[in-house]
Amino acid sequence: MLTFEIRKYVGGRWLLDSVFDDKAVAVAEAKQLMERNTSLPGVRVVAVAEEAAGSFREWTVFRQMIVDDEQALQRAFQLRYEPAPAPSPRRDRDTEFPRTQRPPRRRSRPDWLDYTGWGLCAGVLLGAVVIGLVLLTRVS
Amino acid sequence: MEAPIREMRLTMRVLRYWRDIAGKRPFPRVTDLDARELGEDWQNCLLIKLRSPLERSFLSYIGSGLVVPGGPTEGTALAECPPETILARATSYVSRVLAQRVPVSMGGSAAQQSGVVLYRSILAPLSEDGRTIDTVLGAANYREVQFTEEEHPV
Repeated sequence: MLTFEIRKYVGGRWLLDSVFDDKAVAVAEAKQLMERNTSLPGVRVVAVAEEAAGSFREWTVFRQMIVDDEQALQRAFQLRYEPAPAPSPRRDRDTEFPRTQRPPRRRSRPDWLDYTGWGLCAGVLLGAVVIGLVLLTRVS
Repeated sequence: MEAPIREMRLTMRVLRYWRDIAGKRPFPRVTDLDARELGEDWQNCLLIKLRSPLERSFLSYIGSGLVVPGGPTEGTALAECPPETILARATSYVSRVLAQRVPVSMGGSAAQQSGVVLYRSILAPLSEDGRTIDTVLGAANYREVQFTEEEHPV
């Protein structure tokens, strides 16, 4: 025989509340129980099958917990209103690589920009030297 | 303000009434029952006064909706209820209520004078001292079903 037991979570334990032979009725009653009793943290409906050898097999067919609802609400709120936390670059470097085996630091500028800068500086310096020499020869 | 939606099932209405009068106690008392609060549903209720052994337990109240001419009357022992009748079927799982100490609801088919009926019933424990179950509140309703060869071919 298959029956459906409503069990309620009271004082850290699951207590038997009522027994039905109809799953739909049991689930509907479990939902009503949660709606009517706001201090009840949770309910579940457990199907209990009596087997041939006099043993019982049971499995949960419905479960509702206030904690589940609150967690779902908090998660929805976070997704909607709170920005995702920025990943910490230090954490990866410090945890994944020992200090002696750190990967090469990534450069913030491309190499060609550096070479161009250095080239310009050298050109200006060379020009200044040439102009200085020309002026010196004219004066002398 | 909207009126609360009335529960369609008699057994669920009686179960909610049982919960209301029990409050935080494990079981309500017989004296907590108020026929006026149950309204028309009281006509489909019954009370079983428990005795030991269980077969000596008897029906101390039978609502008019469950009375059958020539059938069990108030004072009839459970063991004397004709089998297959709705009263016998609706009270057949009293032992389960005593073992599990919670309301139990069962349904099925039974034989009534008019023929075969489908019924739904509930039994809920009552106690004077809050520990020993001394009475059981029951409720049942039914509807006739017509079996024809077309619907149930052999």
